[in-house]
Amino acid sequence: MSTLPGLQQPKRHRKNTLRIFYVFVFLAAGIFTVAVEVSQAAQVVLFALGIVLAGGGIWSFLRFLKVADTHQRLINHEATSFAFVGSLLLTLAVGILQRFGFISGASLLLPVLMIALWSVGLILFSWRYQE
Amino acid sequence: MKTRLRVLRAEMEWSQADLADAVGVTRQCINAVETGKYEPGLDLAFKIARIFGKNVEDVFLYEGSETRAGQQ
Repeated sequence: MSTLPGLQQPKRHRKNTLRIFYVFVFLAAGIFTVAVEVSQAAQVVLFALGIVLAGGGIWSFLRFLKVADTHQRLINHEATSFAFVGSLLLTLAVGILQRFGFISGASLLLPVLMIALWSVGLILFSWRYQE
Repeated sequence: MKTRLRVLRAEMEWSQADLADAVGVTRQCINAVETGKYEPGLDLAFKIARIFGKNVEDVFLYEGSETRAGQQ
């Protein structure tokens, strides 16, 4: 058996950036949810914190894209397309339901919905390349 | 595009994970290349070929060029 040259890019790094992304997103979503319930003074602080965490989420997402190999970028591209189309159809459905007075509000739900669909897309399109 | 990657890897007794680590991609990526589900970009194709000490065309075969060569 021939020996191979050493590791070029740590795999662990890629997984960690994705984990950090989800931590930021869950924390931001939690803080925005709590912020609606508290007093106005605390709301400002919580919204500011939520924005900082959301910014952290964007940073870690960009980092995830940067460390991903071309194959992972392809999967991510497919997942993003899936999330875009899914969000478009669901917001259209919600819009129609709102038009007829069935539901109201839920404007903050859109980014959460897109991230959820993107995650589902990542899983779905990763499966495609499994043996 | 056809690839001899699985054969070459077996000759060297390397696992998909070994090769993936050496070229800086995931094992899933190497598997997708071997099964023809994913066509690597130039950068990855050259990296893989270099690891085996071969030219790109020794590892990857573009089917269009094969047909053309057969016609000539």
